Amino acid sequence: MHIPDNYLSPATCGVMITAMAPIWTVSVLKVKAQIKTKKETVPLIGVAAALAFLIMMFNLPIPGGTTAHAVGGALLAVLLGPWAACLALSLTLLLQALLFGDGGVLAFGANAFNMAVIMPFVGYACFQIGQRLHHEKIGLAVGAYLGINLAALTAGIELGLQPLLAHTSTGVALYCPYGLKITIPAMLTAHLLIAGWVEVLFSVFVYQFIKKAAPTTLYQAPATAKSFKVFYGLLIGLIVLSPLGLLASGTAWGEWNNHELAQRLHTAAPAGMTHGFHFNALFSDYAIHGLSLPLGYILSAVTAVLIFAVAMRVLQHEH
Amino acid sequence: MSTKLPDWLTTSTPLPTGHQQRHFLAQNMQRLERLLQRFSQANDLARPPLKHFIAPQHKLLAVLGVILLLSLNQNILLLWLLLLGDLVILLLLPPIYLRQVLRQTAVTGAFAILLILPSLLLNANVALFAAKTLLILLNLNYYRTTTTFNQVITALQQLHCPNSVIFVVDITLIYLKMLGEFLLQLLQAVSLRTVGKSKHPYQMIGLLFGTLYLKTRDYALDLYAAMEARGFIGVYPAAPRTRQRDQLYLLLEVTVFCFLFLLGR
Repeated sequence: MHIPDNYLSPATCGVMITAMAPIWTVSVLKVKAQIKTKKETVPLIGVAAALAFLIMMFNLPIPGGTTAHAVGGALLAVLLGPWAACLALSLTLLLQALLFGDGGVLAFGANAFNMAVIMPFVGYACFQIGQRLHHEKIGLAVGAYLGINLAALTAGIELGLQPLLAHTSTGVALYCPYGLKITIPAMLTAHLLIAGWVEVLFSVFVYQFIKKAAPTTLYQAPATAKSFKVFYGLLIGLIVLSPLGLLASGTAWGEWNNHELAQRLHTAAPAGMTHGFHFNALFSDYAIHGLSLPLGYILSAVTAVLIFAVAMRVLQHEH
Repeated sequence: MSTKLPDWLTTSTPLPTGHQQRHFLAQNMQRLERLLQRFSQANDLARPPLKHFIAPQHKLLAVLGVILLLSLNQNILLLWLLLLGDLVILLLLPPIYLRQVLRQTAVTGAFAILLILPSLLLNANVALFAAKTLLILLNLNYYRTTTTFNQVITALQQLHCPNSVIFVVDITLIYLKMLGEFLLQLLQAVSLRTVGKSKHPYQMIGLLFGTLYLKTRDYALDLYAAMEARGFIGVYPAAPRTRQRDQLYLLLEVTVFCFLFLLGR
Protein backbone atom coordinates (compact mmCIF):
# COMPACT_ATOMS: atom_id res chain seq x y z
CA MET A 1 0.00 0.00 0.00
CA HIS A 2 3.06 2.25 0.08
CA ILE A 3 2.46 4.71 -2.77
CA PRO A 4 5.75 5.47 -4.53
CA ASP A 5 6.80 8.86 -5.85
CA ASN A 6 5.58 10.13 -9.22
CA TYR A 7 2.27 8.24 -8.92
CA LEU A 8 0.61 11.18 -7.21
CA SER A 9 0.77 14.69 -8.60
CA PRO A 10 2.78 17.15 -6.47
CA ALA A 11 -0.46 19.05 -5.81
CA THR A 12 -2.07 15.95 -4.27
CA CYS A 13 1.06 15.32 -2.21
CA GLY A 14 0.93 18.92 -0.98
CA VAL A 15 -2.72 18.62 -0.04
CA MET A 16 -2.12 15.38 1.84
CA ILE A 17 0.82 16.78 3.81
CA THR A 18 -1.26 19.86 4.67
CA ALA A 19 -4.06 17.57 5.80
CA MET A 20 -1.62 15.62 7.97
CA ALA A 21 -0.14 18.70 9.69
CA PRO A 22 -3.08 19.30 12.08
CA ILE A 23 -3.41 15.57 12.75
CA TRP A 24 0.25 15.33 13.76
CA THR A 25 -0.10 18.45 15.91
CA VAL A 26 -3.11 17.03 17.74
CA SER A 27 -1.30 13.70 18.12
CA VAL A 28 1.69 15.40 19.72
CA LEU A 29 -0.60 17.33 22.09
CA LYS A 30 -2.54 14.18 22.97
CA VAL A 31 0.62 12.23 23.59
CA LYS A 32 1.99 15.07 25.73
CA ALA A 33 -1.12 14.73 27.88
CA GLN A 34 -0.55 10.98 28.01
CA ILE A 35 3.04 11.56 29.11
CA LYS A 36 1.88 13.43 32.20
CA THR A 37 0.31 10.28 33.58
CA LYS A 38 2.59 7.73 31.95
CA LYS A 39 6.06 9.14 31.66
CA GLU A 40 7.57 6.28 29.70
CA THR A 41 5.45 7.13 26.66
CA VAL A 42 8.17 9.20 24.95
CA PRO A 43 10.71 6.42 24.64
CA LEU A 44 7.85 4.00 24.05
CA ILE A 45 6.82 5.77 20.83
CA GLY A 46 10.35 5.50 19.51
CA VAL A 47 10.64 1.84 20.34
CA ALA A 48 7.11 1.18 19.07
CA ALA A 49 8.04 2.74 15.73
CA ALA A 50 10.84 0.20 15.52
CA LEU A 51 8.30 -2.53 16.35
CA ALA A 52 5.96 -1.25 13.60
CA PHE A 53 8.86 -1.37 11.18
CA LEU A 54 9.57 -5.00 12.04
CA ILE A 55 5.87 -5.90 11.75
CA MET A 56 5.75 -4.42 8.25
CA MET A 57 8.92 -6.22 7.32
CA PHE A 58 7.82 -9.65 8.51
CA ASN A 59 6.37 -11.74 5.70
CA LEU A 60 3.61 -14.10 6.72
CA PRO A 61 2.72 -17.25 4.83
CA ILE A 62 -0.65 -17.37 3.13
CA PRO A 63 -2.26 -20.48 1.69
CA GLY A 64 -1.19 -20.88 -1.90
CA GLY A 65 2.51 -20.41 -1.28
CA THR A 66 2.94 -16.65 -1.45
CA THR A 67 3.45 -14.22 1.40
CA ALA A 68 1.98 -10.95 2.57
CA HIS A 69 2.82 -8.63 5.41
CA ALA A 70 0.61 -7.01 8.04
CA VAL A 71 0.69 -3.31 8.87
CA GLY A 72 -0.47 -3.63 12.44
CA GLY A 73 -2.25 -0.26 12.58
CA ALA A 74 -5.23 -1.45 14.59
CA LEU A 75 -3.05 -3.58 16.86
CA LEU A 76 -0.70 -0.72 17.69
CA ALA A 77 -3.69 1.54 18.40
CA VAL A 78 -5.02 -0.99 20.89
CA LEU A 79 -1.60 -1.47 22.50
CA LEU A 80 -0.42 2.15 22.67
CA GLY A 81 -3.53 4.25 22.10
CA PRO A 82 -4.52 5.64 18.70
CA TRP A 83 -2.62 8.95 18.94
CA ALA A 84 0.64 7.37 19.93
CA ALA A 85 0.12 4.71 17.25
CA CYS A 86 -0.42 7.47 14.68
CA LEU A 87 2.90 9.05 15.60
CA ALA A 88 4.79 5.76 15.72
CA LEU A 89 3.45 4.65 12.33
CA SER A 90 4.17 8.06 10.75
CA LEU A 91 7.72 7.83 12.00
CA THR A 92 8.11 4.33 10.58
CA LEU A 93 6.80 5.51 7.21
CA LEU A 94 9.22 8.45 7.23
CA LEU A 95 12.20 6.19 7.85
CA GLN A 96 11.00 3.71 5.26
CA ALA A 97 10.74 6.46 2.67
CA LEU A 98 14.10 8.06 3.46
CA LEU A 99 16.29 5.11 4.30
CA PHE A 100 14.73 1.97 2.93
CA GLY A 101 13.17 3.08 -0.35
CA ASP A 102 9.69 1.92 0.60
CA GLY A 103 7.04 4.47 -0.35
CA GLY A 104 7.69 7.88 -1.84
CA VAL A 105 9.25 10.90 -0.16
CA LEU A 106 6.75 13.35 -1.64
CA ALA A 107 3.95 10.84 -1.19
CA PHE A 108 4.79 10.59 2.53
CA GLY A 109 1.72 12.65 3.49
CA ALA A 110 -0.62 10.43 1.53
CA ASN A 111 0.95 7.25 2.87
CA ALA A 112 0.82 8.58 6.42
CA PHE A 113 -2.85 9.48 5.99
CA ASN A 114 -3.73 6.00 4.74
CA MET A 115 -1.67 3.90 7.09
CA ALA A 116 -1.00 6.07 10.15
CA VAL A 117 -4.41 7.74 10.47
CA ILE A 118 -7.16 5.67 8.87
CA MET A 119 -5.89 2.29 10.04
CA PRO A 120 -5.28 2.98 13.74
CA PHE A 121 -8.34 5.18 14.24
CA VAL A 122 -10.80 2.93 12.43
CA GLY A 123 -9.28 -0.07 14.16
CA TYR A 124 -9.44 1.56 17.56
CA ALA A 125 -13.03 2.76 17.11
CA CYS A 126 -14.17 -0.76 16.22
CA PHE A 127 -12.20 -2.17 19.15
CA GLN A 128 -13.92 0.25 21.53
CA ILE A 129 -17.35 -0.67 20.19
CA GLY A 130 -16.42 -4.32 20.63
CA GLN A 131 -15.25 -3.59 24.16
CA ARG A 132 -18.60 -2.04 25.03
CA LEU A 133 -20.40 -5.10 23.69
CA HIS A 134 -17.95 -7.34 25.61
CA HIS A 135 -16.48 -8.85 22.46
CA GLU A 136 -13.10 -7.15 22.27
CA LYS A 137 -11.52 -9.70 20.02
CA ILE A 138 -14.31 -9.48 17.47
CA GLY A 139 -14.11 -5.70 17.65
CA LEU A 140 -10.36 -5.81 17.00
CA ALA A 141 -10.79 -8.28 14.13
CA VAL A 142 -13.47 -6.14 12.50
CA GLY A 143 -11.37 -3.03 13.11
CA ALA A 144 -8.25 -4.55 11.59
CA TYR A 145 -10.17 -5.76 8.53
CA LEU A 146 -12.13 -2.54 8.05
CA GLY A 147 -9.08 -0.37 8.74
CA ILE A 148 -6.81 -1.95 6.17
CA ASN A 149 -9.57 -2.06 3.55
CA LEU A 150 -10.57 1.55 4.11
CA ALA A 151 -6.91 2.52 3.86
CA ALA A 152 -6.64 0.56 0.61
CA LEU A 153 -9.80 2.26 -0.68
CA THR A 154 -8.38 5.69 0.12
CA ALA A 155 -5.12 4.81 -1.58
CA GLY A 156 -7.14 3.61 -4.58
CA ILE A 157 -9.09 6.86 -4.68
CA GLU A 158 -5.93 8.97 -4.35
CA LEU A 159 -4.31 7.09 -7.22
CA GLY A 160 -7.44 6.91 -9.35
CA LEU A 161 -8.09 10.65 -9.13
CA GLN A 162 -4.76 11.46 -10.77
CA PRO A 163 -5.86 11.06 -14.41
CA LEU A 164 -8.73 13.46 -13.65
CA LEU A 165 -6.56 15.98 -11.81
CA ALA A 166 -3.41 16.04 -13.91
CA HIS A 167 -3.45 15.46 -17.64
CA THR A 168 -2.20 17.12 -20.79
CA SER A 169 -4.48 19.06 -23.09
CA THR A 170 -5.05 15.88 -25.07
CA GLY A 171 -6.23 14.08 -21.98
CA VAL A 172 -3.14 11.91 -21.45
CA ALA A 173 -2.52 11.32 -17.76
CA LEU A 174 0.69 12.77 -16.33
CA TYR A 175 0.95 10.73 -13.16
CA CYS A 176 -0.78 7.47 -12.22
CA PRO A 177 -2.27 6.45 -15.57
CA TYR A 178 -5.12 4.36 -14.17
CA GLY A 179 -8.52 5.80 -13.40
CA LEU A 180 -10.80 5.09 -10.44
CA LYS A 181 -12.41 2.22 -12.33
CA ILE A 182 -9.11 0.34 -12.26
CA THR A 183 -7.35 1.49 -9.10
CA ILE A 184 -10.19 0.92 -6.64
CA PRO A 185 -10.94 -2.68 -7.66
CA ALA A 186 -7.23 -3.44 -7.94
CA MET A 187 -6.46 -2.14 -4.45
CA LEU A 188 -9.59 -3.53 -2.84
CA THR A 189 -9.58 -7.07 -4.23
CA ALA A 190 -6.05 -7.69 -2.99
CA HIS A 191 -6.90 -6.34 0.45
CA LEU A 192 -10.41 -7.75 0.78
CA LEU A 193 -9.28 -11.24 -0.17
CA ILE A 194 -5.77 -11.57 1.25
CA ALA A 195 -4.11 -8.71 3.10
CA GLY A 196 -7.21 -7.99 5.18
CA TRP A 197 -7.31 -11.50 6.58
CA VAL A 198 -3.58 -11.56 7.22
CA GLU A 199 -4.01 -8.35 9.21
CA VAL A 200 -6.95 -9.82 11.16
CA LEU A 201 -5.15 -13.03 12.09
CA PHE A 202 -1.96 -11.19 12.99
CA SER A 203 -3.72 -8.62 15.18
CA VAL A 204 -5.94 -11.14 16.95
CA PHE A 205 -3.19 -13.64 17.73
CA VAL A 206 -0.77 -11.01 19.05
CA TYR A 207 -3.55 -9.36 21.08
CA GLN A 208 -4.60 -12.72 22.49
CA PHE A 209 -1.05 -13.45 23.58
CA ILE A 210 -0.54 -10.08 25.26
CA LYS A 211 -3.95 -10.19 26.90
CA LYS A 212 -2.97 -13.51 28.42
CA ALA A 213 0.66 -12.74 29.26
CA ALA A 214 0.53 -9.11 30.38
CA PRO A 215 -2.94 -7.59 30.33
CA THR A 216 -1.83 -4.54 32.31
CA THR A 217 0.35 -3.26 29.48
CA LEU A 218 -2.63 -2.58 27.20
CA TYR A 219 -3.61 1.02 26.61
CA GLN A 220 -6.47 2.22 28.78
CA ALA A 221 -8.65 4.86 27.22
CA PRO A 222 -9.27 7.97 29.32
CA ALA A 223 -12.82 8.71 30.46
CA THR A 224 -15.20 8.94 27.53
CA ALA A 225 -16.69 12.31 28.46
CA LYS A 226 -13.43 13.92 27.42
CA SER A 227 -13.38 12.31 24.02
CA PHE A 228 -16.91 13.51 23.44
CA LYS A 229 -15.74 17.04 24.23
CA VAL A 230 -13.21 16.79 21.42
CA PHE A 231 -15.96 15.55 19.15
CA TYR A 232 -18.17 18.51 20.01
CA GLY A 233 -15.24 20.87 19.47
CA LEU A 234 -14.68 19.38 16.04
CA LEU A 235 -18.35 19.74 15.22
CA ILE A 236 -18.43 23.42 16.20
CA GLY A 237 -15.25 24.01 14.23
CA LEU A 238 -16.80 22.43 11.15
CA ILE A 239 -19.93 24.55 11.50
CA VAL A 240 -17.85 27.73 11.69
CA LEU A 241 -15.75 26.61 8.77
CA SER A 242 -18.72 25.63 6.62
CA PRO A 243 -18.75 28.87 4.54
CA LEU A 244 -15.34 27.72 3.24
CA GLY A 245 -17.39 25.77 0.72
CA LEU A 246 -18.13 29.11 -0.92
CA LEU A 247 -14.47 29.54 -1.79
CA ALA A 248 -14.70 26.71 -4.28
CA SER A 249 -15.96 28.22 -7.50
CA GLY A 250 -18.45 26.09 -9.34
CA THR A 251 -20.64 23.29 -8.18
CA ALA A 252 -19.32 20.02 -6.77
CA TRP A 253 -18.78 17.28 -9.32
CA GLY A 254 -22.05 15.53 -10.04
CA GLU A 255 -24.14 18.13 -8.18
CA TRP A 256 -24.91 20.31 -11.18
CA ASN A 257 -28.43 21.51 -11.81
CA ASN A 258 -29.88 21.04 -15.24
CA HIS A 259 -28.67 24.36 -16.56
CA GLU A 260 -25.09 23.74 -15.47
CA LEU A 261 -25.24 20.21 -16.81
CA ALA A 262 -26.39 21.44 -20.20
CA GLN A 263 -23.45 23.86 -20.24
CA ARG A 264 -21.01 21.08 -19.44
CA LEU A 265 -22.42 18.61 -21.92
CA HIS A 266 -22.72 21.25 -24.67
CA THR A 267 -26.09 19.70 -25.49
CA ALA A 268 -29.42 19.76 -23.76
CA ALA A 269 -29.56 18.02 -20.36
CA PRO A 270 -30.76 14.40 -20.61
CA ALA A 271 -34.51 14.20 -21.04
CA GLY A 272 -34.90 12.05 -17.96
CA MET A 273 -33.41 14.83 -15.87
CA THR A 274 -35.44 17.71 -17.28
CA HIS A 275 -38.70 15.84 -16.88
CA GLY A 276 -37.72 14.07 -13.70
CA PHE A 277 -38.80 14.71 -10.15
CA HIS A 278 -37.92 18.17 -8.89
CA PHE A 279 -37.74 18.87 -5.24
CA ASN A 280 -37.65 22.49 -4.17
CA ALA A 281 -35.97 22.52 -0.81
CA LEU A 282 -36.82 25.17 1.75
CA PHE A 283 -33.32 26.61 1.63
CA SER A 284 -32.23 25.81 -1.89
CA ASP A 285 -28.41 25.92 -2.33
CA TYR A 286 -28.10 26.90 1.37
CA ALA A 287 -29.27 30.44 0.60
CA ILE A 288 -31.98 31.83 2.83
CA HIS A 289 -33.85 34.73 1.35
CA GLY A 290 -32.75 38.03 2.85
CA LEU A 291 -29.61 36.70 4.54
CA SER A 292 -26.00 36.91 3.45
CA LEU A 293 -24.64 33.72 1.94
CA PRO A 294 -22.00 32.82 4.59
CA LEU A 295 -24.55 33.33 7.35
CA GLY A 296 -26.94 31.10 5.42
CA TYR A 297 -24.25 28.43 5.26
CA ILE A 298 -23.62 28.56 9.01
CA LEU A 299 -27.34 28.49 9.78
CA SER A 300 -27.79 25.51 7.46
CA ALA A 301 -24.97 23.66 9.19
CA VAL A 302 -26.38 24.41 12.66
CA THR A 303 -29.85 23.32 11.53
CA ALA A 304 -28.52 20.04 10.14
CA VAL A 305 -26.58 19.31 13.34
CA LEU A 306 -29.60 20.13 15.54
CA ILE A 307 -31.93 17.95 13.46
CA PHE A 308 -29.48 15.05 13.79
CA ALA A 309 -29.12 15.71 17.51
CA VAL A 310 -32.91 15.63 17.96
CA ALA A 311 -33.08 12.40 15.95
CA MET A 312 -30.37 10.86 18.16
CA ARG A 313 -32.24 11.99 21.26
CA VAL A 314 -35.42 10.31 20.00
CA LEU A 315 -33.54 7.06 19.48
CA GLN A 316 -31.66 7.25 22.81
CA HIS A 317 -32.52 4.75 25.52
CA GLU A 318 -33.94 5.96 28.78
CA HIS A 319 -31.56 5.39 31.68
CA MET B 1 29.49 -63.60 11.07
CA SER B 2 27.82 -60.88 9.19
CA THR B 3 25.68 -58.43 10.94
CA LYS B 4 22.79 -57.06 9.11
CA LEU B 5 21.33 -53.74 9.97
CA PRO B 6 17.70 -53.84 10.87
CA ASP B 7 15.34 -52.56 8.25
CA TRP B 8 14.33 -49.46 10.16
CA LEU B 9 17.91 -48.30 10.26
CA THR B 10 18.47 -48.54 6.55
CA THR B 11 15.39 -46.71 5.47
CA SER B 12 15.21 -43.04 6.14
CA THR B 13 12.00 -41.63 7.44
CA PRO B 14 11.92 -37.86 7.12
CA LEU B 15 10.46 -35.89 9.95
CA PRO B 16 7.05 -34.51 9.16
CA THR B 17 8.01 -30.84 9.00
CA GLY B 18 5.79 -28.16 7.72
CA HIS B 19 7.68 -27.24 4.59
CA GLN B 20 6.03 -23.93 4.04
CA GLN B 21 6.50 -22.91 7.65
CA ARG B 22 10.24 -23.57 7.53
CA HIS B 23 10.42 -21.68 4.31
CA PHE B 24 8.84 -18.56 5.67
CA LEU B 25 10.94 -18.64 8.83
CA ALA B 26 14.11 -18.92 6.76
CA GLN B 27 12.93 -16.18 4.44
CA ASN B 28 12.23 -13.81 7.29
CA MET B 29 15.54 -14.59 8.94
CA GLN B 30 17.30 -13.66 5.72
CA ARG B 31 15.42 -10.39 5.47
CA LEU B 32 16.22 -9.55 9.08
CA GLU B 33 19.87 -10.36 8.58
CA ARG B 34 19.97 -8.05 5.60
CA LEU B 35 18.37 -5.29 7.68
CA LEU B 36 20.82 -5.79 10.53
CA GLN B 37 23.71 -5.73 8.11
CA ARG B 38 22.86 -2.12 7.35
CA PHE B 39 23.57 -1.34 11.00
CA SER B 40 26.76 -3.34 11.35
CA GLN B 41 30.03 -1.47 11.53
CA ALA B 42 31.97 -4.37 10.07
CA ASN B 43 30.06 -3.77 6.89
CA ASP B 44 31.09 -0.14 6.83
CA LEU B 45 34.73 -0.97 7.46
CA ALA B 46 34.81 -3.36 4.52
CA ARG B 47 33.97 -0.56 2.11
CA PRO B 48 35.98 2.53 1.30
CA PRO B 49 34.67 5.45 3.31
CA LEU B 50 32.67 8.03 1.39
CA LYS B 51 33.81 11.60 1.25
CA HIS B 52 30.95 13.90 2.10
CA PHE B 53 31.36 17.16 0.30
CA ILE B 54 28.12 18.69 1.38
CA ALA B 55 26.40 18.94 4.74
CA PRO B 56 23.71 16.33 5.44
CA GLN B 57 20.89 18.89 5.53
CA HIS B 58 21.80 20.12 2.06
CA LYS B 59 21.93 16.61 0.74
CA LEU B 60 18.42 15.97 2.05
CA LEU B 61 17.16 19.26 0.62
CA ALA B 62 18.82 18.52 -2.70
CA VAL B 63 17.13 15.13 -2.94
CA LEU B 64 13.77 16.62 -2.07
CA GLY B 65 14.33 19.39 -4.61
CA VAL B 66 15.28 17.01 -7.39
CA ILE B 67 12.28 14.76 -6.72
CA LEU B 68 10.00 17.79 -6.65
CA LEU B 69 11.45 19.06 -9.93
CA LEU B 70 11.10 15.66 -11.53
CA SER B 71 7.50 15.23 -10.55
CA LEU B 72 6.47 18.82 -11.31
CA ASN B 73 7.88 19.04 -14.81
CA GLN B 74 7.04 17.27 -18.03
CA ASN B 75 9.94 18.76 -19.93
CA ILE B 76 12.24 16.27 -21.68
CA LEU B 77 15.17 18.71 -21.73
CA LEU B 78 14.99 19.10 -17.96
CA LEU B 79 14.88 15.33 -17.43
CA TRP B 80 17.92 15.05 -19.66
CA LEU B 81 19.84 17.67 -17.72
CA LEU B 82 19.01 16.01 -14.42
CA LEU B 83 20.09 12.64 -15.80
CA LEU B 84 23.43 14.13 -16.84
CA GLY B 85 23.84 15.62 -13.38
CA ASP B 86 23.04 12.27 -11.79
CA LEU B 87 25.53 10.48 -14.02
CA VAL B 88 28.30 12.89 -13.04
CA ILE B 89 27.52 12.37 -9.36
CA LEU B 90 27.44 8.61 -9.86
CA LEU B 91 30.86 8.76 -11.54
CA LEU B 92 32.32 10.22 -8.36
CA LEU B 93 31.16 7.23 -6.32
CA PRO B 94 33.50 4.32 -5.53
CA PRO B 95 32.53 1.33 -7.71
CA ILE B 96 31.18 -0.75 -4.83
CA TYR B 97 28.60 1.92 -3.99
CA LEU B 98 27.91 2.56 -7.66
CA ARG B 99 27.03 -1.09 -8.25
CA GLN B 100 24.73 -1.06 -5.24
CA VAL B 101 22.87 2.06 -6.38
CA LEU B 102 22.40 0.70 -9.89
CA ARG B 103 21.31 -2.74 -8.68
CA GLN B 104 18.69 -1.26 -6.35
CA THR B 105 17.45 1.08 -9.06
CA ALA B 106 17.16 -1.79 -11.53
CA VAL B 107 15.16 -3.94 -9.11
CA THR B 108 12.80 -1.21 -7.91
CA GLY B 109 12.52 0.22 -11.43
CA ALA B 110 11.54 -3.17 -12.87
CA PHE B 111 8.64 -3.35 -10.42
CA ALA B 112 7.52 0.16 -11.26
CA ILE B 113 7.60 -0.49 -15.00
CA LEU B 114 5.77 -3.79 -14.65
CA LEU B 115 3.05 -1.89 -12.85
CA ILE B 116 2.53 0.67 -15.59
CA LEU B 117 2.88 -1.64 -18.61
CA PRO B 118 -0.86 -2.38 -18.84
CA SER B 119 -1.47 1.35 -19.20
CA LEU B 120 -0.10 1.10 -22.75
CA LEU B 121 -3.60 -0.08 -23.56
CA LEU B 122 -4.95 3.16 -22.15
CA ASN B 123 -2.91 5.27 -24.51
CA ALA B 124 -0.97 6.89 -21.68
CA ASN B 125 2.47 8.47 -22.10
CA VAL B 126 4.28 5.52 -20.58
CA ALA B 127 7.73 6.51 -21.80
CA LEU B 128 7.79 9.87 -20.04
CA PHE B 129 6.24 8.45 -16.88
CA ALA B 130 8.71 5.56 -16.81
CA ALA B 131 11.67 7.87 -17.39
CA LYS B 132 10.59 10.15 -14.57
CA THR B 133 9.95 7.26 -12.19
CA LEU B 134 13.34 5.70 -12.94
CA LEU B 135 15.12 9.00 -12.37
CA ILE B 136 13.34 9.51 -9.06
CA LEU B 137 14.24 5.99 -7.99
CA LEU B 138 17.86 6.56 -9.01
CA ASN B 139 18.03 9.69 -6.86
CA LEU B 140 16.35 8.05 -3.90
CA ASN B 141 18.58 5.00 -4.08
CA TYR B 142 21.63 7.21 -4.36
CA TYR B 143 20.53 9.01 -1.22
CA ARG B 144 19.82 5.92 0.81
CA THR B 145 23.05 4.19 -0.21
CA THR B 146 25.32 7.10 0.54
CA THR B 147 23.66 8.35 3.71
CA THR B 148 24.13 6.92 7.15
CA PHE B 149 21.47 6.93 9.86
CA ASN B 150 23.41 9.54 11.81
CA GLN B 151 23.48 11.87 8.86
CA VAL B 152 19.71 11.73 8.56
CA ILE B 153 19.41 12.73 12.20
CA THR B 154 21.92 15.54 11.78
CA ALA B 155 20.03 16.71 8.69
CA LEU B 156 16.75 16.80 10.60
CA GLN B 157 18.47 18.69 13.42
CA GLN B 158 19.93 21.28 11.07
CA LEU B 159 16.57 21.75 9.41
CA HIS B 160 15.20 22.82 12.81
CA CYS B 161 13.02 19.80 13.44
CA PRO B 162 11.70 19.92 17.02
CA ASN B 163 13.94 18.25 19.58
CA SER B 164 11.30 15.74 20.57
CA VAL B 165 10.99 14.47 17.00
CA ILE B 166 14.73 14.01 16.57
CA PHE B 167 14.95 12.30 19.91
CA VAL B 168 12.24 9.83 18.94
CA VAL B 169 13.77 9.19 15.49
CA ASP B 170 17.08 8.49 17.22
CA ILE B 171 15.46 6.02 19.61
CA THR B 172 13.68 4.32 16.71
CA LEU B 173 16.89 3.76 14.79
CA ILE B 174 18.75 2.42 17.81
CA TYR B 175 15.96 0.12 18.86
CA LEU B 176 15.29 -1.03 15.33
CA LYS B 177 18.66 -2.74 15.60
CA MET B 178 18.05 -4.02 19.13
CA LEU B 179 14.57 -5.34 18.42
CA GLY B 180 15.71 -6.75 15.08
CA GLU B 181 18.45 -8.71 16.82
CA PHE B 182 16.01 -9.92 19.44
CA LEU B 183 13.56 -11.07 16.78
CA LEU B 184 16.32 -12.80 14.84
CA GLN B 185 17.40 -14.69 17.94
CA LEU B 186 13.79 -15.65 18.61
CA LEU B 187 13.38 -16.91 15.05
CA GLN B 188 16.61 -18.89 15.25
CA ALA B 189 15.53 -20.44 18.52
CA VAL B 190 12.14 -21.33 17.11
CA SER B 191 13.51 -22.87 13.95
CA LEU B 192 16.09 -24.89 15.92
CA ARG B 193 13.64 -26.22 18.42
CA THR B 194 10.43 -26.87 16.53
CA VAL B 195 10.01 -30.38 15.26
CA GLY B 196 6.99 -31.28 13.23
CA LYS B 197 4.12 -29.11 12.31
CA SER B 198 2.57 -26.44 14.46
CA LYS B 199 -1.18 -26.30 14.43
CA HIS B 200 -1.29 -22.92 12.84
CA PRO B 201 1.64 -20.76 11.81
CA TYR B 202 -0.23 -17.65 12.93
CA GLN B 203 -0.37 -18.94 16.49
CA MET B 204 3.41 -18.86 16.50
CA ILE B 205 3.41 -15.37 15.01
CA GLY B 206 1.16 -14.22 17.84
CA LEU B 207 3.71 -15.58 20.25
CA LEU B 208 6.68 -14.08 18.43
CA PHE B 209 5.27 -10.58 18.11
CA GLY B 210 3.58 -10.70 21.50
CA THR B 211 6.96 -11.39 23.05
CA LEU B 212 8.52 -8.71 20.89
CA TYR B 213 5.95 -6.18 22.10
CA LEU B 214 6.62 -7.05 25.74
CA LYS B 215 10.33 -6.63 25.03
CA THR B 216 9.51 -3.26 23.45
CA ARG B 217 7.86 -2.16 26.68
CA ASP B 218 10.78 -3.39 28.76
CA TYR B 219 13.23 -1.48 26.60
CA ALA B 220 11.12 1.67 26.81
CA LEU B 221 10.82 1.46 30.60
CA ASP B 222 14.55 0.81 31.02
CA LEU B 223 15.37 3.65 28.69
CA TYR B 224 13.12 6.02 30.56
CA ALA B 225 14.65 5.00 33.88
CA ALA B 226 18.12 5.57 32.45
CA MET B 227 17.09 8.95 31.08
CA GLU B 228 15.63 10.02 34.37
CA ALA B 229 18.69 8.83 36.28
CA ARG B 230 20.88 10.99 34.07
CA GLY B 231 18.70 14.05 34.52
CA PHE B 232 17.21 14.18 31.05
CA ILE B 233 14.93 17.18 30.69
CA GLY B 234 13.94 16.82 27.06
CA VAL B 235 16.68 18.94 25.51
CA TYR B 236 18.79 17.32 22.87
CA PRO B 237 22.47 18.28 22.45
CA ALA B 238 22.68 21.46 20.39
CA ALA B 239 23.15 21.09 16.68
CA PRO B 240 26.64 21.78 15.36
CA ARG B 241 26.93 25.33 14.00
CA THR B 242 26.44 25.70 10.28
CA ARG B 243 29.52 26.79 8.39
CA GLN B 244 29.59 29.70 6.03
CA ARG B 245 30.38 27.34 3.19
CA ASP B 246 27.09 25.55 3.88
CA GLN B 247 25.14 28.78 3.66
CA LEU B 248 26.73 29.54 0.31
CA TYR B 249 25.89 26.06 -0.82
CA LEU B 250 22.26 26.57 0.17
CA LEU B 251 22.17 29.72 -1.93
CA LEU B 252 23.60 27.83 -4.88
CA GLU B 253 21.09 25.03 -4.37
CA VAL B 254 18.13 27.41 -4.36
CA THR B 255 19.42 29.21 -7.45
CA VAL B 256 19.86 25.97 -9.38
CA PHE B 257 16.41 24.81 -8.29
CA CYS B 258 14.76 28.04 -9.45
CA PHE B 259 16.67 28.00 -12.72
CA LEU B 260 15.71 24.41 -13.49
CA PHE B 261 12.14 25.03 -12.41
CA LEU B 262 11.81 28.00 -14.77
CA LEU B 263 13.54 26.05 -17.52
CA GLY B 264 11.09 23.21 -17.18
CA ARG B 265 8.01 25.37 -17.40
